[in-house]
This record gives sequence, C-alpha cells and structure tokens, in this order.
Amino acid sequence: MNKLKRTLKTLLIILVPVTFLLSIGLLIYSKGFHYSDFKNRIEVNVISDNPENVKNFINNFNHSNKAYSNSETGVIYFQHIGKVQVEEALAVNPDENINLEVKEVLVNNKVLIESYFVFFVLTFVTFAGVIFYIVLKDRGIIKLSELIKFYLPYSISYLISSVIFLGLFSLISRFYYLSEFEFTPIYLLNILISIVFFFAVYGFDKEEEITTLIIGRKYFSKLESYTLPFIICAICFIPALVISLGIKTIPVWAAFLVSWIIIYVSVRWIYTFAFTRFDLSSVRERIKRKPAKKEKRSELTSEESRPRKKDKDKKKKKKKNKKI
Amino acid sequence: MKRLLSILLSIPTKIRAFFSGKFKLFLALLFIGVFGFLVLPNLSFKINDQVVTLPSLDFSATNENSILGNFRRGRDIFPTQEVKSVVDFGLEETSEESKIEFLNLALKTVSNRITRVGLHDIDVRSEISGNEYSLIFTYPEYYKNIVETTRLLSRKGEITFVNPSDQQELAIKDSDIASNIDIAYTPNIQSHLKFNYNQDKSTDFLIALSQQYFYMSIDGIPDFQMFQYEQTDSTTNTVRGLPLNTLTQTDIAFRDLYINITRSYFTEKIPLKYASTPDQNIKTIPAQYSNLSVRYIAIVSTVVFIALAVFTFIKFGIRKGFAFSFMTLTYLVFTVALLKYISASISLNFLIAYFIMSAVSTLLIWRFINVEEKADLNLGGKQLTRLGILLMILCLLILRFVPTIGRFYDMVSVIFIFGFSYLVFGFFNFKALTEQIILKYKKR
Repeated sequence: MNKLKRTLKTLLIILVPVTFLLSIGLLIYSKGFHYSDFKNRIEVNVISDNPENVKNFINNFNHSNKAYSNSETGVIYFQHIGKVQVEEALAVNPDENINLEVKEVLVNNKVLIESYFVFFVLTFVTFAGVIFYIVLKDRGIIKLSELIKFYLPYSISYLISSVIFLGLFSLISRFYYLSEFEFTPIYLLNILISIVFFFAVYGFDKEEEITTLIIGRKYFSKLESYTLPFIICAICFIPALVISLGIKTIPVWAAFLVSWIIIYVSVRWIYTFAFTRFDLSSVRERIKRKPAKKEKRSELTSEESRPRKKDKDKKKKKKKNKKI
Repeated sequence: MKRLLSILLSIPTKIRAFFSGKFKLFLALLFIGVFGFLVLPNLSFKINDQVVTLPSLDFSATNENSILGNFRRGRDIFPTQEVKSVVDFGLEETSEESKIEFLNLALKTVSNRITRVGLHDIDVRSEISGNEYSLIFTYPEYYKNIVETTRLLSRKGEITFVNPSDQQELAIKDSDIASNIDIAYTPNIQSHLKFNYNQDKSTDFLIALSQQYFYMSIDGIPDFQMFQYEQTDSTTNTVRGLPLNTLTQTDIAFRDLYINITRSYFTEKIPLKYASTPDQNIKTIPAQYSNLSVRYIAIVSTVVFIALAVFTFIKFGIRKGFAFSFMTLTYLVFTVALLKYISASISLNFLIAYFIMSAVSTLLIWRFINVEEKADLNLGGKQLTRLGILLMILCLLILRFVPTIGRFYDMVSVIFIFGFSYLVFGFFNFKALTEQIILKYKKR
C-alpha cells in the first residue's frame, strides 16, 4: 500500500505540471476553442414542409468541418471552412424535398477573451488583498518571505486549475461544440478556489511560523473537509436541476463538477509537492545508511542487534514529519 | 425592603439577559416570517363557496409606476425575440471584402454601444446571407419596443445641429462640446440630455438659440429639441435636449434608454458609413433549454432543501437539524426577496449561480451547526461577514471594470445578493440561531 501511495504521489507530482503545459499548448494550437460559439461560423438552415425530412437530412449529413447540428431548429453549424466549400459539400447529395439557406455569421469574440482575463486578474487581486489584510490583522507585522510563501499556494493553484480547465475545454471543443453556457463555470471556478483559500487563511497563531508546507496543509485540509459535503450537495441538487431544466444542461453541470475536481487535484499537488520536498532528504539519508547497516548486522551480537536509541529517535522524528 | 431592592436591582440584568437570549431567537424567526411573507406567490384557495386570496406584498405597492417586484423572464430557458437590421450599401458598387470589413466594424460599434448603455442581456451578431448583410439582435421577452431599440442601436450616429425653421446646419458641431454628455432629470421636463459648449463658441451658440431652441439631428432626422432651461444655463453655455420621439413621451423607461443610446454616439470618433434598417417582423426563438415557470423551479428547490434537511436531522440530530432548517429558510427567503426587489432576470446563468451559492451556503451552515463553543461561533460569524464584504467588493469591481460582462451579469447579481446576505447573517442571524438552539443546550 505504501508503495502504491508513493507511486501515486510521484505520478501526481509529474502529471500536474505536464497537464498544465499541455493545456497551454492546446490553447495556443486551437487558438482558444476549436468548435465554439466564440468563433465565426457558417450556419445552414435546412427548410422543408415535412419536419421529418429536416431531421433525416441533418442526422445523415456528415462532414469533417461540421461543428454542430440541431435537428430541432434545423440548423447545421460549420467552422474552419469557407462558404464556397460548404456549398460544394451540400451540393454533393441534393435533396428535392429540402431547401438550404447558407449564412455566414460573424461574432465579436475578442470581447470574451478580454473580459475573462480582466475578471481572472480582478478576482485574484481582490481576494489576495483581503487575505493580506486578514493575515496582517491577526499576526501583526509579516515578513516579505512569509508573504511570498503565503501567496504561493493560492496563486499556483489558481493559475493551474484555471489553465487546466481551459485546456480541457479546448480539448473537448475539438469534438464537441462549446457554447457560452458551458464556459461560464470557469468564472465560478475562480471564485470557489479563492473562497476555499480565504477560509484556509484563518487559524494561524501569532507565534506559528509560516511555511509553504503548513499553508499547503491548511489549504488542502480545508478543501478536503468541504469536498464530501459538496458531493452530497451535488448529488441532491444536480439530478433535480437536470430533470427540471432538461438533459441539455448536463454539460454545464458536468463542467462545474469537473472544475471542483481540478481544484482538488491542483491543491493536492501543492501539498504533496511541498510535503515530498521535505521528506526527500530523510529518504535519501535512509538509502545511504542501508548498505552499511546490512554488513554490520551479520557481525552483530545479540546485544548489539538491539535497535539503538539514535535510530529510535530518528524513527520518531520521521513519524512526526509524516503526521504533519 | 431589602428583597424589593434586590428585585429592582436584578431587573436590568434580567432585561439584558432577555434581549441577549430568547429575544434574539424571536428576532431571527421574525426575520424569516417577514421575508417569507414577501416572497410568497399569489396563493388563493376556496373555503366553502368563498375564494380567499393570500395577501402578497408585491414590491410594486411601494410605487404605482414601479415595475419591480417580479422576476423577469431572461434568456436560455425562456423564448427570446430576434430582430434583423439589414445594412443598406446604397447604389454605389462596393466589393465583398469592403462589405465584410464594414460589417465587422458595425458589429464592433454596435457591441460597444450595447456595453456603454449597460444592455448586457442583448446579443448581437452579424450575418451574410446571399447579398444581404445584416445585424441580428436577440432580446429577452421582457424588452419592449425592440424594433425601435434596434433602429437606435444600428444607426450611423451622425450628429448635426440644425435650425428649426429651415433645417439648415448650424455652425456649432458636436466637437465643440466641452463637457460630458449627461442624462439629467427635473420634475417638469423629466429626463433629458445635458451638456456645455466651449466658451469660444458662445457667439455661434447664441445664434443657434436665437429662435429659443434648435434641433439635434441624428442621421439627418431631427431627434432632440435643444434649449436652455435654468437661469444658470446661459452663463455656462449649457443646453438641454428633449427627445422628440413619440414613444419617449409615454414610456419613462424607454425614454431613458433612448437618451442613453444617443449619449453613446458621442463616444465614437466617426459615425458608421452606411445605415441599417430594422425589419419590422419580430422572430420568436424558442427556449434553448426547457421552458419552465418560476413556480416549478421553486418546487424543485424546495424538494432539494427538504432532502438536505432530512439528511442533517439524521446525521447531526434534532437540535442541529432544526438549526439547519431555520438557517436555510433564512437565506432562502432573504435572497429571493432581494432578487425579486431588483427584478432579477431568470436565465440559466442565474440558476447555476443561485444553486452553486446555495451549495456554498449549505456548507457554511454545516460549519455553523458544528461549532463547539462561543469563541468558535464568533470566529465563524467574523469569517462569514468578511466573506460577504469580499464578495460584494468583488462584484462591484467586476461591474465597474468588466463592462463587457454579457451573460455573466446574471451570475454577478446573484453573487452580490449572497454576499450581502452573508454580511447580515454573519453579524446576527446565524449566530443567534446557533447560540440559542445549539450552544445553549450543549452539555459541558
């Protein structure tokens, strides 16, 4: 079990930064989101006297640049393709019962990017400012090094969770048309992760030293204490909302649940990374000492084979570190 | 005598104990009762042959012209209205690239106008269908005069000042305006435009006012009657403008919208090159998600909260269950009452934000009901109050610095209301309920 835990921890430490970098790469490669409400598109209205003809046409029509189709409204959406190519594709299998109206739709997507970026920064600055006030009020003077250690877990988890979430969306948008509604959980993600850190800030004694490890531990324990109740709330709320609003809202709620998981993983990574960093030095010492101990054991008498006091103390220290 | 004296001396202590004890609980329950009454829908039932209607205190009772007091049917889960405004390139030959370039510019300009006026719930996109280049505006159901609003938003925005008698253009220009273009209000002339001209242009200004007033034309059509109203106006070269549109005479809300859209034209460096004409036919777009009533959402929410309350009773016991139920009712009635007061528009983002913040509130309540001592309770109250202030500050900053917030506006309004609620509850309600129902009966 210990081996499995250590392996999982190692995987977590490696996977999170890799996922972070991959997310950035994907966002750059897709220029945001591949198929989405936020890019120009070509809409094809499928019109017929018989709604069944419309549904059949839409369900049977396949094209590599087809972003999305809605058989209820009778519209097919294309992206990353010119109008001429769309018309050529539609002309391949003409249907006498169907009229096709091709429209090019232009959207103002820069606004979304700018507004989200300002929101991202604003939320961080507002929470950071208030948290600084709270900590300063509770502890009096605070050193710059302590302040940096204080904000480090928050800023890293804030950045990692946001970028990974956006990267995941960018990946999903390669196969699924992303609407503005599915994008809105990102705003709530930023606020929620800040609220969790806000509560983690409380409870520092004036004499307690601020270290990355302690802050990471408090942050993570606060998140852990709220995760199970959050899951219970989600189990109660979400099915009822899906039933009342329809299955089309499932992606929106799913996006929100995923955001919580990403927050959990990012905070866990910080805690694991900080904790492992402190533990590695003691692990290295044990590895170095092991061969020498083995040679001595064959020569040891029964008296000498008893564990020494020093070893007992070291073991106690390790146990203390693990508890922390 | 001694006994009487001791009784008299103990009265202040007893009064203090009463006010800090059961009276707090009474106030907390009264709070639930008052706001619960405010959020009641119009309920009526039959007793024998008589129909009895429960009095519901609609906020419109505070002012007969008030339109507050009800939720508004927003986007996504209710039908919306679509108006098309077709660009008229005239008879001149324009290449397709130039047309697309103009359409992009028009889209950007119209989006800016919408942002400046604060019409966050109007969507606009541009469409090219054959030879038709158009701007498509999507409005929630509660918008009135949408064809006229579309016309205002998609106008070229070319401002000139003309003589009322012969419609000749005057020497004063919009570039001669020295102040901000404000919207002002007086009881006699109601809402109107107000701005000052440069002192250098006093002569031209006096010539313009030689017939008591002049017209401000937009796209060549007289739109505002400009005149001086107060005595101080002449010393500061101030002029006020009354809209001439007939719709603005009867509809106060539309009048303000009309004036605000006009103000946005002054922020543009140059007017649009081509005009757009709105189509009089309004298209109704069905709801993207299920078509619901507020009542149905309320019923679903009630079922969910009952489930959570039952869970709390089972897991934490009867006292804590009651405390949880009262605290849940407190935030439900208070937030719904405040949202009704600001006539919040119900959209999918609104619902998502409301349920997420309800989940956060539920977690916070569970934190309260698990306190062990008063010091912990005071800390919890302090945390909740500070969180409330923080959320309110964040929302105000978002509204100030992210004007292009669009759909997220509905979420921000919900978060702001919850922030205000946390401020109130952290100060009094949750503390009183926890103290009187849980801590008071805790075995030491």
